[in-house]
Amino acid sequence: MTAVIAGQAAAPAKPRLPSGRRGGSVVTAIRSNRKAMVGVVIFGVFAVMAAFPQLFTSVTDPQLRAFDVSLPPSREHLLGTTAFGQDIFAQLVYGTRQSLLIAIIAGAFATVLSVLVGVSAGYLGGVGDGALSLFTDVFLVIPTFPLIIILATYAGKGSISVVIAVLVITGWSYGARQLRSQTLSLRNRDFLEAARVRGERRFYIIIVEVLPTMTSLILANFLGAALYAVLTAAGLQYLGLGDPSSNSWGTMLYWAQSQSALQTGQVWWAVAPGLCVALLGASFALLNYAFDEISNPALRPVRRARVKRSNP
Amino acid sequence: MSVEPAGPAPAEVPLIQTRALSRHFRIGGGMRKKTLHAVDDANIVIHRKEIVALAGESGSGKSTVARLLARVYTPTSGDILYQGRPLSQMSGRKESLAYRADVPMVFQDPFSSLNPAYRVSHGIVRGLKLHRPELDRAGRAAETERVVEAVGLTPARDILGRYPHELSGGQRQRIGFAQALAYRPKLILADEPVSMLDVSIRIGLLNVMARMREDEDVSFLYITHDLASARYVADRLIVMYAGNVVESGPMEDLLARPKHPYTQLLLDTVPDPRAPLSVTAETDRGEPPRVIDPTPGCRFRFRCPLAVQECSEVTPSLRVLGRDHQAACHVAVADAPASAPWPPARAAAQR
Amino acid sequence: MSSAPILEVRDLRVEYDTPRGPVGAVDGVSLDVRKGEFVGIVGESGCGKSTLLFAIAQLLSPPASISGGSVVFKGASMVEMSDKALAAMRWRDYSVVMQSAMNALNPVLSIGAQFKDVLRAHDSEHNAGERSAEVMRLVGIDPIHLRSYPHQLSGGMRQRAMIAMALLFTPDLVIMDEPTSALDVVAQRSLMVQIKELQHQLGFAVIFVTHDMSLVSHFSEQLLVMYAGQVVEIGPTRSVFDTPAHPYSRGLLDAFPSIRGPKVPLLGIPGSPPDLANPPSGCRFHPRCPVVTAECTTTEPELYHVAGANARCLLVRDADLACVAHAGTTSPSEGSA
Repeated sequence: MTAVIAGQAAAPAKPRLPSGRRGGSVVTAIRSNRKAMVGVVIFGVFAVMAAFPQLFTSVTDPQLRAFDVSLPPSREHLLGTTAFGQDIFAQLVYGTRQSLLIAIIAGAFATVLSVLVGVSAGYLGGVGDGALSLFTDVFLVIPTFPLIIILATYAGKGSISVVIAVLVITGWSYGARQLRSQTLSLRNRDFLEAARVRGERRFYIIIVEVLPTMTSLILANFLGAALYAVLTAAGLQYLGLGDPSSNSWGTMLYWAQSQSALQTGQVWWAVAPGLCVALLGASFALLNYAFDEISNPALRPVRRARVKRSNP
Repeated sequence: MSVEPAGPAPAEVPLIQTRALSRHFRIGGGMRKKTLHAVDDANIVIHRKEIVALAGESGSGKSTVARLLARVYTPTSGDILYQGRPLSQMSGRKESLAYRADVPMVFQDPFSSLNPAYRVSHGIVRGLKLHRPELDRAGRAAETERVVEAVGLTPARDILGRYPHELSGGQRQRIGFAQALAYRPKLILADEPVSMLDVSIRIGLLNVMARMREDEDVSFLYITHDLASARYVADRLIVMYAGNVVESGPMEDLLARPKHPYTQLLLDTVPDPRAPLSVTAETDRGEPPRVIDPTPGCRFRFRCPLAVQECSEVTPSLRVLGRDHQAACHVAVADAPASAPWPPARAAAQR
Repeated sequence: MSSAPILEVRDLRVEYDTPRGPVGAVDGVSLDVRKGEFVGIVGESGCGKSTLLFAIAQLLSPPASISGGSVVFKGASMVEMSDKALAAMRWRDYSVVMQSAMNALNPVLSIGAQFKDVLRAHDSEHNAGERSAEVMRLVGIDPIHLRSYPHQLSGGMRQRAMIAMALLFTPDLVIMDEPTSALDVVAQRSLMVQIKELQHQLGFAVIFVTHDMSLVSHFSEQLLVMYAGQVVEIGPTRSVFDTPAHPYSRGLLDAFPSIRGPKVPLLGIPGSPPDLANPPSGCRFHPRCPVVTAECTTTEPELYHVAGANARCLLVRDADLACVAHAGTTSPSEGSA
C-alpha cells in the first residue's frame, strides 16, 4: 500500500498544550525517562568512582605488587589479584579516572572541532563548503585503526595526551558531516534570513543564531564522540599503544592479555575491565537515546494504546 | 522602459523605484545550462505613506522582487533607486546598514520567522543594536516595549519575556512587524505576512499595517496572492505574471476596469461567499509557467482567449491606459468596458 | 439524492493521550451524509476538523483514539469493524484525498505504478492499465502522464492525480482534507469545479474539510462550522451564509474582505482558539464572543434548532437571533490575536 495510508504522512495537528520548556524541566524529563535514568545512574557511579576511589577500596596504590599473585575472588580481593599480585578491583576503581577523563576530554575536543568545521561548511556554502567538506571527507575515509596505530607509534608511547590527540583527530569527522547536514536544512529558515536581512555578519549568525538551535544535536555528538573515545582508547591501550605503566582499564586488558589471564584462570582480570568499558559506553549511548526522546517527542515510545482495536 | 504616468506627477521623488529590474537564475548543471527568468523588466514605484500590493500566483516573481529590494539578491540587470539614488552606488557597511534599517522585511511563516532558542525580544533588541546605536540599554528596552505595543500586543513586557512557541501564529507575526518597526523604517517589505494565519486573525494584522501607515508614516509593499485582502489594505495594485509586471495602478481603478486579461481572470477567481458564483463552461485550467530561456512574446498568450498574432511575436511592455494605470498587453484598450465575466468577449477586444 | 444517509456519525469523540492526561480533540460531533451530497467542514487551526476526518476514515493512530460515539457507514458500524473488513471497504466504498500530493504520493514511483499498487492491493489487478487511463481522463489528465513521476507534474495536476486515485473503484464517499490549500487561486477554482462535475457524473458523496469558508460556499450543500472540537453550527450552506446563527460563524464570515461592493473596515475575531487541555467553562467561545452573557460562562450550550438554524449558542436557544445578527457590528475590545 503506497499512497493509501497517507494518514501517517500528514497526521492531524495535536491539540496545543501549555508548555514551559526551560529550566527544571530537563531534570523532570530525565527522571521520567527510563533510559535516561539508567544511563545517568551508571555514569554517576563511575563518576564517583573516579573522583573518590578511596570510598570503594582500601588499597591506595593499585600498581603496587603488594599481595599474593593470582588469588581467586575473596572478601579481601573482590575480584582476586593479578599475576603480579595487584588487587584487580582496586585497579578497576582507580582506572576509572583515566578512562573517564579520556572519554570526556577527547569527546569534547572532537565535538568542538566537528562543530567548527561542520556548521561553517553548512552555512558558508560555495567554495568554503567545498573546501571544508573535502577536508572532512579525507579524515572520514581514512581507515581509523591503522591511522591510530601509525600516529600513536610515531608520537611515541607515553602520555594520555597522545591518546587523546589521536582520538580527536580520528573522531571528529563523522560528527562534522552530521552537523553540516543539519545546518544545511536550517539554512533557509526564515529567522536566519531575517538575521541576514537585518544586516548581521556571517559569523555572528553562525554562532549566535544557528548554534543555539542545534544544542541537542551537539550534545548527541558529544555523547557519540565520548562513546567512540572510550572504546577506541581501550583498544589502543590494549594494543600497548598507551602507557602500559599507567592505570586504566585498557592497560589492564593489555597486561591481562600478555599474561594470558583467561588461559590461566584469571577470568576477572580480563573480563572486568572489558565489562566496565562496555558499561560506560552503554551509559553514553543510553543518554544519547534519552536526549533524543526528550527533545523530540515524536520518538517517544507510545504508551498505553487505549484504542478499541489497532490500526494496520 | 517605464513611461511617465499621465496626470499630475507626484511632487516628490518616489521612495523606491525600479527600472527594468531583472533577476535570472542559472539552473541545470554541466553542459545544459539554462536560465530561469524569475523577474524580467519590472518597473515598480512606491511612494511615501502608501501601501502597494504586489499580487500574483506562484512563479510570478513577486517574492523575488521583494528579495531584490531587500538586497538578498543582486539584480541581473536593471536598477533600484532608493530616494533617487541607485542602490548599486551604495558602498560600505554603514550605507548598507542604513538602507537595511529603512527597508526591512517581514516574512511569511510565523513558525520559522523567530529563532526558537531565544525569547521574542531577541530579534528586536539585536535590530536596535545594529541600526539605532544611539540608544543605550534603557533606551532599547523602552523602544522595544513601544513597538510591541504599537502592533497591538499587550502587556508588552510579559509578551517580550516569552519564547516563540508560547505565542500564537498571529502574535508571532505581530512580533515580526514590531521588529521591522523598531528601525523607524520608511518601507516595509511584507512577504505574504498573513497567508499562513487563520482567516479571523488576518484582519487584525492588516489593520495593524494600515495603522502603521497612518501613525508611523511607513509605506508597505504587501505581497500576496489574495486580491481581496489586497483590496482591503492597499492603495495601489501591481499584478505580476510569470516574471513580468502585467498591470499596475490605483486599486479601485484596477478592480473596476482591469485592462489585462490575467487581472480579469484573477478577479473572477476570487471567491466571494456573498456573491453568486460565476461558473462558466470554459474554466481556465492553466497554471503559471516556469520561465526558462523564454522566447519573445507575451507569456500569458497560451491561456489568453484574446491572444492575436502579435502576442506571439512581440513582448508587450507597460503602456499607459488610464490615470496612473498601466498594462502590458497588446489587445488592451484604454476605454474597455467595466469588468466583464471571464472569458471576455472577443468582439469587445478587437482593435 | 436519496433520503437515507450513507454515513451517520453520532456523538463522535476523539481523545489524545498526553502525559497530562487525555485531551479531547473532537467532542460529540454528529453528522449525516446523504448519497451524492457535498458536505463542507469549516474551521480554523486547532478546531479538530482534520482529527474528525481521520476518525471517520478510521485512520487514527496512537496517541489518538476514538473514545466514544459511532460511525455507521452504509449500515455497518466502522468503529467495531475488524481490520480485514475495513481493508475490504477501504477504497472500494470510501476513499481519502490528502492535503498535499507531494506528501502523499511516493516520489520514486511513477503515477501509473502507484495506481497499479492500489488496484493490486484491492485484488483488481487485471485491466489495471485500462482503468488507470480511464480515471486519468476523468480528471482531465492525458493518460500519457501515467508514466510521469510526481515531481514532473504541476501542483494542480498532482492533486488531480490524487483525486483520480481516489476514484479508482468509484467509491460512494470521498473524504478530502484541504486538497486545494497548496494550489494557486486559479488552480484551486478549477479543481473545485472539476470535483463538482465528477460528483454529478459519478454520484459520490464528498466530505470536504477546509479552513477557507469562501471556497466551499459555492460548492457544498451542507456546511458544518467547527470550533474547539465541537460543531457550533450546521445546516444548508446557503442558510448558514445568509443568516449565520452562531456568533463565531458570523465573525468568520465578516472576516472576509469583499472584492466587490463597498469597502468597510473589518474587525476579525480577537483572541485565539482555546487550549483544549483546559477549555473555557460553559460555552467554549465565550472569551471571544461579542455578545456574551453571564450564563454563557457557566452553561455549556447544546446544538439548538430554532427557525431553520442549528447552532450551539444560548442566544439561539432563547431564539434571540436578533442579538446574534448584531454580533458583527458590535466592536469587541482589541485583544492580542
